[in-house]
Amino acid sequence: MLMRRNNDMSLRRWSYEPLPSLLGGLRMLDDVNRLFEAFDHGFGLSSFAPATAPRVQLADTGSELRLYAELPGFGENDIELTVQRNRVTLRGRRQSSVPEGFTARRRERGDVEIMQSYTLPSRIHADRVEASLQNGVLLVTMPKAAEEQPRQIQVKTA
Amino acid sequence: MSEQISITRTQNGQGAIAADVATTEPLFAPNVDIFESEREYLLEVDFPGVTQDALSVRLDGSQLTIDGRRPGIDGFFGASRLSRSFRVPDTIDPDRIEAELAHGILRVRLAKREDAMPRRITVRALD
Repeated sequence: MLMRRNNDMSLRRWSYEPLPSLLGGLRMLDDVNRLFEAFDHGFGLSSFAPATAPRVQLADTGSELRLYAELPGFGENDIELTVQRNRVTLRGRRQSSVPEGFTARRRERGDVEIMQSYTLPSRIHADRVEASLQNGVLLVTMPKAAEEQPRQIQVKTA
Repeated sequence: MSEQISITRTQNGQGAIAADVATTEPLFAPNVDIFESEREYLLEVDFPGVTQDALSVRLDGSQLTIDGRRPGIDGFFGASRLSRSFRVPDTIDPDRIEAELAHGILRVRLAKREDAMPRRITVRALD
């Protein structure tokens, strides 16, 4: 996996853009029934709309931020991750082709191209970011910068 | 990273997992590609985050159901389920279904019955 570190100081945005946590993928049982029909009629196309963006979620554990991205079929060389002080950019590409000797009857997965950039709610320690890919899930662990770490404040009575 | 998955055969809906009624975990319908060759059908399903021990592939009559559960990570990313059902053509051989899971993709191969395969007829020249 390619990891690029960038200490660009000019980028200082403190706004928090909520992640599209349930982008695509969320579907109800109705669609299952619809696919049934499609199968009945010789694998014809139905109105089923495939998800175009991977599901990405962000969590704050207190001392670090974690990014979770569903990237099935991606190899580590298909993913490029760039981190800055409070920004993470995910680029990736998966191509899916019709296997040799087969004819496509239904295609929902298709080629996937991601280029998403997120402003994080706090600055991170770019040198200590770690990323792993397992079972088609990318997990990025981003320790917060020292000054962003939660601090216990002693309350004194006057 | 590729593992063989056993296929469960049931009848009249028996064995449908109890989680169908019990769980409140979010349910997702994964994207699927369906391919056909002379000899088999191939399903490729996006199944990110599912491990083999949390996966079931079940054939009940002509209904094929794939189910997977994702346990969530570290308590920060919640558990969820992936499920989809298909009506398979009667040309497939129920005893020759294979499934494997690798890199978050589930591949199910359904072989066609011998009598459903195209047969090549030799043309003899009579002159």
